[in-house]
Amino acid sequence: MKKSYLLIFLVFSAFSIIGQTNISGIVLGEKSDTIIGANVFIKGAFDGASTNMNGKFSFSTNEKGSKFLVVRMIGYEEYEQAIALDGKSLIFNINLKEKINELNAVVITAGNFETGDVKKIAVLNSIDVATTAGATADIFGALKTLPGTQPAGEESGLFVRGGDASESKTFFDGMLVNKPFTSELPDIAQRGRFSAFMFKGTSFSTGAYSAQYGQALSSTMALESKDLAEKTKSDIGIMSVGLDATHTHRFENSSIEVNAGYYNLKPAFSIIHQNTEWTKEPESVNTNANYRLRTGKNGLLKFYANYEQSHIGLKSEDFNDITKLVNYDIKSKNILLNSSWQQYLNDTWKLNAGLSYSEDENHISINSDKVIQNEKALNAKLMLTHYYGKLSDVKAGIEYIDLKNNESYNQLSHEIDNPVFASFIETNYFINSKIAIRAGVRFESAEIIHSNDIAPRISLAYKLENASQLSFGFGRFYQLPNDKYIFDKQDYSFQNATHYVLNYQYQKNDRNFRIEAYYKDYDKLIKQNSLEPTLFDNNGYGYAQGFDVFYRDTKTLRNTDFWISYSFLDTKRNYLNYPKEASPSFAAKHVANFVYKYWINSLNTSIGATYTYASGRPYFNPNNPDFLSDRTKEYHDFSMNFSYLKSIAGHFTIVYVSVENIFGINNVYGYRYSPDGNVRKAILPSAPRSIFVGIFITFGDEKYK
Amino acid sequence: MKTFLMITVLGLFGFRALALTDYEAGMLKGIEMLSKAKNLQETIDAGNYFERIAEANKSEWLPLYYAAYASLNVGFQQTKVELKDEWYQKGLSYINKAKDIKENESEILSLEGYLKLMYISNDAMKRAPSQTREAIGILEKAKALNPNNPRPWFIHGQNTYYTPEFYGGGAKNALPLLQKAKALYDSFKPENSLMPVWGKGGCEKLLEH
Repeated sequence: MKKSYLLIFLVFSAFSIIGQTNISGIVLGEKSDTIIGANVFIKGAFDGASTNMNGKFSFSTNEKGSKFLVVRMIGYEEYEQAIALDGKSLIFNINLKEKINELNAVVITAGNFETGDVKKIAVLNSIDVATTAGATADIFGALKTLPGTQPAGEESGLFVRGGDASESKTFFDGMLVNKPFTSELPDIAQRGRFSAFMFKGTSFSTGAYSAQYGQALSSTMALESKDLAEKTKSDIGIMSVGLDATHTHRFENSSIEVNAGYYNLKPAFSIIHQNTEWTKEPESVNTNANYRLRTGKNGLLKFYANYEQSHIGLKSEDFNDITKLVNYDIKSKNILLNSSWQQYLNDTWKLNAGLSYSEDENHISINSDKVIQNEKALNAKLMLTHYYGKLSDVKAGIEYIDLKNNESYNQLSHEIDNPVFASFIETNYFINSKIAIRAGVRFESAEIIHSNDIAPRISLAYKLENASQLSFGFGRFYQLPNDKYIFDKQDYSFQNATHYVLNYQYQKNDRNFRIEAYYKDYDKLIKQNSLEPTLFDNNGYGYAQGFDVFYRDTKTLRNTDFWISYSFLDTKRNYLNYPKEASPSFAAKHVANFVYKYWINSLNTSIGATYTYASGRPYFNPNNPDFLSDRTKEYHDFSMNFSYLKSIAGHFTIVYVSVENIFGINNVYGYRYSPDGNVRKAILPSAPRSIFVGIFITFGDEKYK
Repeated sequence: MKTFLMITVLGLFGFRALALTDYEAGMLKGIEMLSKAKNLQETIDAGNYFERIAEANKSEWLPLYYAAYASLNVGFQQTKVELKDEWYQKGLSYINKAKDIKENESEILSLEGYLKLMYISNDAMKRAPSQTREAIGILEKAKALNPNNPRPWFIHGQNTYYTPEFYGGGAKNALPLLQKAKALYDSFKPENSLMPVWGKGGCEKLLEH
């Protein structure tokens, strides 16, 4: 009896010994780097193990027969191998492939500054914009602290890498914004129309940008507005320049926001010394609304409407006789309707559609002369995106832009209707997580000048070791001549620019360093005929070359965020009325910005300071036979802001104070000469310093409660 | 003899049937591994073990839940921000699978809220303004789905506790939430031995401060 028990026991034990298979081995990455914590197991069974500090694993299993061995690790492709379990020990040497995902993949950075709250390579987010001293919460102001731009205070817009302001275009949810700045004044740069807080991200490109964008020779700024508002709340702003109120309402699948503001700079200007002699201090009303609607599970419709009306008057130099002043008075109205719709059709297809319309009207009187400018812009766009592979995609789209411009001078009027049709196709192709290519082509056709052009664009990015990467970008860009030339004559071709950009970037934790070298070749720029000064043609040309450096660090110093940017620019062009190739008056050779922000936790206060330096800019001196060879003195601006955050009676409140050019340094943008060359006048900022004070209160936002 | 053998065999099988399935035994083992995990490696081991159970029991949400909970704990123990991000995201990917199996489960949503809040806190400056609302909303839903579940209250309270006072956080604002959690913990009875019970110790610790 006892014997038989023993036999049974032995038989069972033997079975279990035969039945058990030992599995062991090592899991490594592609470069034989150890992978710790990978899950190694028999598919469908609990049996398995995790790799240890040396990447090794070992376990035994009672499973038998043909099974699959699976290795699973975060950040790597899953590994699967058929194995036979028959009691013989198995040893494996497994190499895992790195999975391509947005976090570890290379990003095309040549020429591009992504700024946003969500993007991986965000450079500045909306709060950064609001807290950058010297930017007065203006998106364009904040972008001017990035390399590649010029601190131009006498003309609105961005002067990027030797390009003038008209070469930069602004896009709102993919749609062209014809007039991104408030009404233009002589020698005074204006703010952008949009509040920084409307946007979740900005993509500011200083060169070699995507085929999605056209009609810009130098730069594009793509603003992406926020999705559904998070919550229902109301905000009011009481400022030294006016009043502002917003109400936001959030519904389950939609949200609506309405805003109204009244601004009058008279009180502020009566206290702060002005260089400009105002006859009517800027006064404006602005109302806007936006509506967001979720369409289906993966769609979003955005609609934005803005109406703005302003009146400004000042004494300006008579450009014909600078010893005299003229009365310049401008009344403006601006309407903007912007809609965009994004819908994922399924996992791999996305549709974007957009429609925008704007109208801008200025009634200008210069002494007794009357000018009426009316510009209407219509933009329609349709784009399909197909995602393939792990991260790759291909986009194709068509776009129609129609700009109507009517200008009358003392009843003498002329009008142009300028439709542009464009189509593009572009792919972002990831060969692997280290190499990405963006290749695209854009076709543009402008009826008014009977020109068609094909613009190729290509960018490459290669990921190096240690959180750094190299990118290269190339692109051809076309732009119509300014309307004022087309009014009288349409016999032009597109102006064009060719960009070459080489970029190195290091980004780790909260440190970001980038350096970018570029060369830009301009051709077919508008040029005044030297024999017939009223005739213009496409014989202008030029170049710009240089490098930009940017370093931002939010880590090294506690509660401190700072960035440094430096731009070196060498540019010359022969266009308009230039008698020879020369550096244009808007181009400073050296520009540097130092932006510093410090957060004092115990006081809920943030302090910001920005210092901007620019070397002297060229100006035209009729007494100097060498054209545009004079230089203004260097430009210095030291600005500060501080914001104090406080909960007053349960309402989130910000007290904000900013001072631009705190030391009142006399900056000169250039000079204007009398025709005989005997008298000159400096072009100055409208005020030596400006001060802004505001209190912003939010109601109904029980934050994080 | 035969009878004896029969009884033994039946007894063995019967015992198994009555007491524990492989799944249950595995889960209990995993829960023990996780609760006894002293370091990163052991926490990863436990998480991987739950992942294996989930792989073999595709209709069960609890192994995914625990795999997510282990990921959360691995995230806590990581020192690098990027690695923390990765593990919280990994946790959320288990949560999404768990939600496909069981919709509207208070425990799953509690953990989802927790993972999201931890992810947000990893880069609060950038993420908090736009994402906190959603995470708190998930916790609110968890509270509503099971009013007896202390965990969403604890997670909410803990998050409030560590949020700067200025943003409506701090110990004072957290107190009512944590007290509510404590009361619920004291009366909480899990449906069965596999259901989550964690959080009481942490809650009491915060209340002591």
